[in-house]
Amino acid sequence: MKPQWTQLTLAILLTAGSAAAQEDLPDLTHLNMEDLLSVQVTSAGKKPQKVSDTAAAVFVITQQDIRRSGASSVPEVLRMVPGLHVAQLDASKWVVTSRGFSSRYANKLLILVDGRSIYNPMFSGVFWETRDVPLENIERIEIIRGPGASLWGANAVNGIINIITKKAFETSGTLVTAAGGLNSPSTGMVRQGGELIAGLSYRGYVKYLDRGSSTNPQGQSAADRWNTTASGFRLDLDRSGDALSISGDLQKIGSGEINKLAISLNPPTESTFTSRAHTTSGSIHTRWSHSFSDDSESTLQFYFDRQALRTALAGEKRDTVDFDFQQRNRFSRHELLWGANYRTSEGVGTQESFAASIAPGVRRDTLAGVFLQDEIVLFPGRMNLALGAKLDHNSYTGLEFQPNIRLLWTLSKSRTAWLSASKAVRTPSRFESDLHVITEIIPPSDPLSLPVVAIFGGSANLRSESLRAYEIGYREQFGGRLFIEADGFYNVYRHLRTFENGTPFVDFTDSPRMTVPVGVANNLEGETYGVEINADAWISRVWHVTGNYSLLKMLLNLTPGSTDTASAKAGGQTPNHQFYVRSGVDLWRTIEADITYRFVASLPALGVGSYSSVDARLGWKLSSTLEFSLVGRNLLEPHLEFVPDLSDGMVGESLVKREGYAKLSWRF
Amino acid sequence: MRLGNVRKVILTTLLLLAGLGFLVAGASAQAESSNAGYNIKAAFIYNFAIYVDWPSEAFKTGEEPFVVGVVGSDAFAELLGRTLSEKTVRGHSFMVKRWATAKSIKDCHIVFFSTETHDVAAALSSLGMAPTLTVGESAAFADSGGMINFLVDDNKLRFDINTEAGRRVKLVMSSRLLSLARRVR
Repeated sequence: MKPQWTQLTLAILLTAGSAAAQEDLPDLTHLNMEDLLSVQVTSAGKKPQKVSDTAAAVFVITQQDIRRSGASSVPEVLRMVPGLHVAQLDASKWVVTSRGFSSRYANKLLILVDGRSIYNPMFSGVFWETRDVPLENIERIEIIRGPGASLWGANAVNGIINIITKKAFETSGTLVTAAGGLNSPSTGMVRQGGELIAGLSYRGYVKYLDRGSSTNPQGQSAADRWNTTASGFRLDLDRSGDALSISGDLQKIGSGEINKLAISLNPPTESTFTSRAHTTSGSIHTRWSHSFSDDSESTLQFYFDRQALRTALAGEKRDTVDFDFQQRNRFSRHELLWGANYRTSEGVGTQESFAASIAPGVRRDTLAGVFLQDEIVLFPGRMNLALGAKLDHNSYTGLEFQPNIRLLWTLSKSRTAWLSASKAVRTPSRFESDLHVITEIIPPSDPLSLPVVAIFGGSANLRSESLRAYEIGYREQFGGRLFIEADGFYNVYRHLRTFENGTPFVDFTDSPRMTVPVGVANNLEGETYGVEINADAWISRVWHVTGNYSLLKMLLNLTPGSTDTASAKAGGQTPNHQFYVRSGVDLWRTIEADITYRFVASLPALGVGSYSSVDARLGWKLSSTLEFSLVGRNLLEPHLEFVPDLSDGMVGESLVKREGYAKLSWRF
Repeated sequence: MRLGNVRKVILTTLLLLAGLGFLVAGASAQAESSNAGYNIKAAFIYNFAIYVDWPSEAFKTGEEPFVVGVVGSDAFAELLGRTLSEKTVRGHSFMVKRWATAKSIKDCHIVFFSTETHDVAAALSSLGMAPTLTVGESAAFADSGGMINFLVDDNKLRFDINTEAGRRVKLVMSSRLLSLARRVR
């Protein structure tokens, strides 16, 4: 679901129209043609959207940014976003978090594709390797750091990422791409699109990706090979006032890992082995919007998603059905956005190992909610106030209320500032109540004593984690060629999840053992604060530089009596500083050259050091149908970016090494 | 200022304004603009001059200006004049000419037909084999063989290109320009 205020606020590109006289239309000749295609056009009667009507920390990645970054998957593209920590865990797995709490099982970020949530309710996070979206089909990615909870429900605690794909008629014709290189995925895609009858367009694609295993710091294989076979389609029907979109996809993913799991009560109690995790998923998504007038429109959305995930630890098959309705009405000084959603997801445990089981085997989670937002023009052209709230009911904690208040202040034609205060919650997920994992076995020291088994088991009494976020932002446009934005935040967290040791007891139910139960509770709290600064400079029509800096401080502490040792370290798993800069030049009308430099500070709790990285890309439009590009990534020293952090049975470290690849795109 | 105090200030400010918000009522004037995207179109026309090659007979000397004609919209002609005033392409400075009707256009390198142009088809045929890039913003323009047609979709500007029409008058369009078109014929 997209509220009207996130519809393209690529802040640097001033909108074409304004309510005032023509002299106000800004000169756009410093932009290149790709940028011009992203500028919003206003037409008579529609509300003119001035520079950043958004009272939130929004960042937009355009198709041009994606192409010029040389990225081959969505997480790599997200590296350019201020406030996000993107770390490559291994050849297939990524960690992506916003404003702290980095973990493979990060659970405070909501990821949407065209308004459809793709997070896995099993742990409220996303396994990025299982959700492939072909980069050539992406129109733009909108990222909002900070809670957007009042419109999208629980779990959009630290941010929302909405991946918006191109409409079907934007991808007419045939596209064939192939890429391959050193330490880099081999990929191939074929896409076909066209118009069936007037107003009805379609596209379909088939894609394949294979990325060989990387190595660990000792030079051995990390056994983390990744392969994906994906296909999908999209149909768009446009009639005046109505837009209908139907899309679907089917994916099969395999990713490798090294596991260390408990296998028996008697020695050898553990085994280290390589395994492959398999995920098969399919979804179908329908979205219909109807405009009654420029001031009123409704959107109705439905999706069905089925995913089967199987790892060495456990397996789950999950079906999710979701209905969403949203209505926008504008009248006098108000713009009202309200809606409702209903989501039901059923997970069935399909496989157990000695180390893990899911009980109960089947669980259905239901989330139902309503939201309301009113954006009020307090002083026309000067100050807007938005009040919003979402009320929803979930199967674990019942009712949750998430209000927010945002103020947008237009200081002048080129300067805006905003303030906001919000409350957001992260509701418990299935793994916190149903998953049981043997994390450690200490074999008996003599024939008369019992093995000691530490077993993690969830708790049905876990409450939601809560956040109160206070944010501030400022944007200034200097003469059309330089744009600077600074966003600050102060977040107060309560009831964060911890792992607590219970009282050991002797267990005779199966073969005799001493069980040390590890449960979950909400005994961590604290504050985080930081600043993100980003800037865009159009030095000339052919030279564009963009960069950002992010600062984050996390101060977390356990409540008295907690025995947790893992969660309190979360503050040391996200870097304090990150820096990114990219310079892009257009040469001789057909060549694009881009170079990127990144710096990421260390992760002390994981023993991962700070690192710098350089990427470079050369793109060449050989003809109107053929494009060739040469990309080098991580061109400085090989380094680690993240290591397995929770006792999920995965071990091993993968080195991120220098990569190079060549790509050919043929469009006709 | 301690962080806790900053938080209190922000929250108090917002709550006060929330109270104010509920007292606000009344109508607001919505001005209408009928020049949807004209500055984007102007910027595109500047780019078309860069990314299209004209045959050598289009320029008799190296000093002559690059002429852009605008038919039917004085407002756009004025905006285009201001946009192109200090710019050059391949050493040629720009000159914008206004044409009230489409009957007698000649000696232009680019001609833009606004939606107010009557009888686009006749205008296009009257240009004959002159090496002129024709740019328009209507379905009638595209149907009559116009070379680059602007349209607005999903609130963004797009354009379709008719390469056949361009090739007939010996205009060569850069692959970069062609790859950005929504539809190429």
